[in-house]
Amino acid sequence: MKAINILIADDHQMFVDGLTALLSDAEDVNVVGTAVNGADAVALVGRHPEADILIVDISMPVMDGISATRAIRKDGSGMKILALTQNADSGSITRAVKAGVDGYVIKTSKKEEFLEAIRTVAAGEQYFSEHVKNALILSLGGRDEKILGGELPISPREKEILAMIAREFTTNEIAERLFLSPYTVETHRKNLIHKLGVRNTAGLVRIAVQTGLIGEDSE
Amino acid sequence: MSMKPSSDTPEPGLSVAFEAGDAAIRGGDFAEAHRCFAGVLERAQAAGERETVADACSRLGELAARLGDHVRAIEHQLNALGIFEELGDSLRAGRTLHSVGVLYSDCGDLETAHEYLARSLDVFQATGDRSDQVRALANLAAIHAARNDLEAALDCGLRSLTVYDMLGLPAENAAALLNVADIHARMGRTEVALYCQTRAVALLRGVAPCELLVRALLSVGRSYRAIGQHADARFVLEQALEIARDGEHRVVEYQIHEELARVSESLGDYHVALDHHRDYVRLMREQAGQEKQKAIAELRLRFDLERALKDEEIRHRNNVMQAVVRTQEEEQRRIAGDLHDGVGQLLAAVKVNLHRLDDSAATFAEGERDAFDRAIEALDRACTDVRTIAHSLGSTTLQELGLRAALAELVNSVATDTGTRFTTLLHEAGDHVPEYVALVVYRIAQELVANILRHSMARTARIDVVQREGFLVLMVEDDGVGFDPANGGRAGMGRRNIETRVRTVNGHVTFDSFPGHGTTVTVEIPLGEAT
Repeated sequence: MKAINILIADDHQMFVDGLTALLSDAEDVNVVGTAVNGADAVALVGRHPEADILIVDISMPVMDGISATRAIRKDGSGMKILALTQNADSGSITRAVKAGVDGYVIKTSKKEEFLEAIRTVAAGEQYFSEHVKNALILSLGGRDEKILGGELPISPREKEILAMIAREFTTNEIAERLFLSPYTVETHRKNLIHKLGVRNTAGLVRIAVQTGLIGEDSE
Repeated sequence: MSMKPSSDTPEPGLSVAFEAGDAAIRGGDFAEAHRCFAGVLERAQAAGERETVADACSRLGELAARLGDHVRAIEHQLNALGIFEELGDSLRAGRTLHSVGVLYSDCGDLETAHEYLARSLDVFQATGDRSDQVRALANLAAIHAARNDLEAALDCGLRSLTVYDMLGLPAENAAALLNVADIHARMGRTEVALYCQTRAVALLRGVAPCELLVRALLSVGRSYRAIGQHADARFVLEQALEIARDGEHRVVEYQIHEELARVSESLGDYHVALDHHRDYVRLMREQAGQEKQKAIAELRLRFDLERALKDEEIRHRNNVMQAVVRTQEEEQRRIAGDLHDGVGQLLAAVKVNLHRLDDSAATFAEGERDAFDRAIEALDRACTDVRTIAHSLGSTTLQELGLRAALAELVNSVATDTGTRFTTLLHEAGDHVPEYVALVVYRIAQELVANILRHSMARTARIDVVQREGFLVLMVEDDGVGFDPANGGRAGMGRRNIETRVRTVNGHVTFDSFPGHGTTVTVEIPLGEAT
């Protein structure tokens, strides 16, 4: 099996040394060059056509890892890029993915994950850890809770209030029964009208009946 | 603050703003005028332009007086007074003293009004400025008269007359004469009053017919009636009526009719008396209607101005608070960056180096193995802590990806390791939310989530964001222990923080809770006008 040639760009020498030593234990991985900032990393990639993967930190002085990734992609280099960084927030992850990284791993991961990421990316696939995948989903605004109460996009509390409105409880009665202030009940009612796309309370009642939220046998 | 000689011309920008303010007053746009002068005041204070500061204070005082806000007007004028005295500008100090006196008199504090007017008079006598002197004297006379100190009032009135004689201003002189006459009349000296009034009429005949002449004639008529010379009274009053009709001086006209009705009655001309009485009633009603209209218009103007000033104040306060919040945010982000790039990177370096020992760890003695594992465990926790703390201080997600992603991330970051299950409805949190509003909503949600985790013992919690009717509504509910709103609730600090933040965007927040029945916090923020 051909060994994987690695370049590392990170401004923390202690981390670079540690990672180099850690990777040198693996037989299929060679560290062939290191850089201490993004600008160095771009030059390093130009000097090492034999390298397979650039491992790049995100926050670095002079030029950060994301700008470096963009610059390398712009040069048309086929270099695989693996972000290895302390930044775990959706913002950084999304920016890195948009800039064109092939993988994204958090620095505090275990040795096994480092190696798995390197091997996956070297094989031409993308590697994102569980956390990173999650963050990517969140960057789209997350997955709102599954629709409840038949097909209604409303919370259990709202469902409860909708049913009571349909049963002709007044705002004050609902407030009293649910230990809420009338103001909160009113807010829920307005939100319900908005969420269900109806024009008024009569519309709410109609929807409650249509969806079977209240039936003939209700109290 | 550096003192500059008063001869210094203010910076050109200031005089332009000053003129704009004066123009706004002339155009009746008092709110705009207030904005101009308040701006001048602020900049002049910053530049150490004492004289301009004083000028701006005077103008603001005049504006406040127009608004009927005497307290603030006095405050501004006293500020101006201090500076004029400090600059040794006695004439303007005197005029400011005079204004303060008039303001006190307007709000009914005659004692203090007298004190200031008397002080202003002293100044004017020293500077020798006569027209200022007589104004002060006339106002002092009015105050004495109002306090029923007729002797003193008369003294002031007579002194003002002496000055007018020297100045030779017929209209002002006549007005002063009429005032003196009133005082005499109140003292029961009708003949003396009549003498003064007749002199006033003589003076006014020399100038163009005016309302003051009508008033003078009316007072002469009244005095004649008081001493029983009804025919003379009628003669004078009919003259007055003619001039009043020509000049359309309606306010005086109905008073003349009233007087003529009485005089005619005394003379036995009952038909004439009745006619005059009818005219009197008709004109008085008309007048009352107009006065009412005027009063309403006046009130409306005041109301508009007050609201404009209030809006201005709120806007200013919000700007200041937003600046404070932004600065805090920047500072927090800086600390987060330092934590992340400093301690965080070091811990990562430590960890990657320690991992080299993983393979040899298998060969460690049992105690050594334990110690190694514990060290790795502690290190992991330290890494997580640094990341969590840095993240809660300042996440780039909000800036990079917006409110929806930031809120989703917030909920996701806590959901796994606590007893509370969070659900969300966030799809409306993304669009058309101004950056600052997004920041406020995110920080509030963060505070509320932290409160829920710390205190509520809730099984489930929910974050809903809805945009409706021009408002962004954030609703955070939990089914935890709740609190008694009467006791101000738990987490008072957090609550105050939230209230402060909500105020900076003209929003509204309610905390709704009942012991044992969870908590619902609702935040409503207008999207239109918020910055």
